[in-house]
Amino acid sequence: MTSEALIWALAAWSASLIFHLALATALLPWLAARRPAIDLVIFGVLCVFITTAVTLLAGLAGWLTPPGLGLIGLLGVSSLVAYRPGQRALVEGLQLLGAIGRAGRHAWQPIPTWLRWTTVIFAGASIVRFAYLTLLLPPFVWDSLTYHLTNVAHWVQAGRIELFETPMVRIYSAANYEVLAAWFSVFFHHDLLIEAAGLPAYALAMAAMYAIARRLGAGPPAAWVASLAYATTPALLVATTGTKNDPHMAAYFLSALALCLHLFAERSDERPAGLGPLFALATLLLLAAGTKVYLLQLLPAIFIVGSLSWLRSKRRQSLADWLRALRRAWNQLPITTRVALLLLLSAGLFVGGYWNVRNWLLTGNPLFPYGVSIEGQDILASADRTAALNFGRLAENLRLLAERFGDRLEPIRPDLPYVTGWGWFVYTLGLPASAWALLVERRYRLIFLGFALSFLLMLMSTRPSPWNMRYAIWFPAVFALGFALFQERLRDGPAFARRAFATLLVVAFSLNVATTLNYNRASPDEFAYMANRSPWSRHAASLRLTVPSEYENALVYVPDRTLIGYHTHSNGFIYPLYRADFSSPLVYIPFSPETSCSQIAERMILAGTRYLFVAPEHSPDSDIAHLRGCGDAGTHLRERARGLYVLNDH
Amino acid sequence: MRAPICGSGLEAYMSSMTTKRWQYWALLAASLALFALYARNQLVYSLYFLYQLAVYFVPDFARLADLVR
Repeated sequence: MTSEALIWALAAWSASLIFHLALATALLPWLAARRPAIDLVIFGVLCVFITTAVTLLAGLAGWLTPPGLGLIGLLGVSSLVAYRPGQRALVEGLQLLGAIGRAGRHAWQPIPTWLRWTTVIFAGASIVRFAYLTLLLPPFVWDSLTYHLTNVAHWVQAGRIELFETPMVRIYSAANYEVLAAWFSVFFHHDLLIEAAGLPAYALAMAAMYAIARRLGAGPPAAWVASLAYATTPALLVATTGTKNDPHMAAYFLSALALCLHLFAERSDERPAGLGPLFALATLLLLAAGTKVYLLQLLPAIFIVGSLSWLRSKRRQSLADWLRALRRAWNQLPITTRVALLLLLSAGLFVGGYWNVRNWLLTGNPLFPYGVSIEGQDILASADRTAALNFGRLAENLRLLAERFGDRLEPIRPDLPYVTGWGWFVYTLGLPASAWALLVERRYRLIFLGFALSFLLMLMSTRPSPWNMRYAIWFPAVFALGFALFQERLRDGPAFARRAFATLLVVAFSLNVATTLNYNRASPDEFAYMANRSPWSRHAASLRLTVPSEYENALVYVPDRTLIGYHTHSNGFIYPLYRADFSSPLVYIPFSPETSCSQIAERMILAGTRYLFVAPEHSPDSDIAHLRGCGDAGTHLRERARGLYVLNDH
Repeated sequence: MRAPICGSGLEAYMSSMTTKRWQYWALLAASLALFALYARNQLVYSLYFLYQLAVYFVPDFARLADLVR
């Protein structure tokens, strides 16, 4: 990348980022709860939502380019500053952010010295860890290389969000995370920072944990311990830079619980109806609906926590009274505020519903390619795999959970094969403290019930497999909350206990981070190998942790910007073929062992490519053998390098 | 100072309930026992990369580790 191109990319990115931050700041006063911890969560949700919504709209309009997004940013900021209500909202939003900052400083004061030092060291170590994992290692996690990032690479290459021909039907899945990842990649036209797309979710999850712990009655130090404890959970740490959408779902789930506790756990005579936070909750749930379909399994927890909090705390106010209070609050709003809130909700409906409505129109199944079956009855037909709700799956998944409990079978790696990934804190401090909290703290029982119900639903509906604990990386948060309540009591406890638990906490946090420094996958030699390459040529194909050597052959032997034909099955890697700068155009060449060599060559010529790529594990074995036969015959194709076939010139 | 707690019975309930000294001991003992159990499962994996780094940057570290072993 030339320095001039780099400057333009940075300018466009800055314009886009400033617009999103300014819009989130301007919307904050209308949604704020006037409780700093909750307002921080709402601001985080707004930032992610606005970035996703703007990028999705721009992508569908064909403006997914640095000039397109930069121009939108420039126009957006100018309109916001030129429009008087926009100016007022911006000023009020900045005041609210100032109040959050002041509350943060105030909350920092009672934090004991050991926890301050732990925080400082953890923050420093996290910045270094996230920076080197993002900058040194290219993406390598299985599902990312098959469909998550394949979508991103195609969109950035095409400059628009669209469907394309590929055997990977999971590119149809709800893709708000991929839209955010595209925003992180489009300005440099490169995947150098693509792993950073998980960082906003990580920060949001930490803020949400703090807010929930505060609502449960923990003071700032104990609430901060809960936040740190969840932030060091290995399952979350390895997923954050793992280029998948699970950390986002965890963050949205925890944020929704924080908003529910705020909305429903306080007595109605103590606070206003909460119209703003209610809109924030709706926006958040819609954002989650367009991110991953397992929001459906998480909704019961949110509903249980909301409704039981209501029953316990709002006994003096009926549902009808609350609705009337909401209506009164709505009627009192100025017309500009109402329009802004309705626009936000409409954007939420679009971001939440776009993927499912598109799939429904194209295939008749809103959840395509997933089917749904309840106790053997097919509700929605499947194209790839089926989410079946039945007790057989629950029993099998509980058996698998018992095997993985204690992480005794394998090291903790991305995708969590054969482990839970809950780590040192949960298994040593979180479990006993949560058992204690269940016995002693009534409010904790409510939140535990919600978590447990959704966890069971997840186990009831997820296909039993060694990797399915990655759908539940939100669950260890409940143990961090249990410990926070114990930590709150510990403040009045004996000095020996305070010191002993502080030591154990620091050791557990350190070991949790230590186990995720290299995902338990990459050796120092592999880091050194990638570090010796230029940042602009760190291709996913070059890192051989999961990617076979055939992929790098394709990048070496096919000239840059030349169309590559590929033939993979429905769970094969496609993303590494795009190269890190998305410069290789791809085309899918379908064939089977029944297709003659001349027909394969004709399909390649028709598609406009001379090259055809296959790889073991990622292409059907029978098709690879057939292609090898064509190469050996040498009449139409020859093998250029292992896995790469080229048309004969004659 | 403890955060304000809402809900009619909760505050009275919590203030009437002091955490007895034995509860701290019990939780500490349980935590230490669980730590030992979890260390058996994951300690080597957790420290292995740090060990690899030490060997990478200080090759003599491998000899030192052999001596300790």
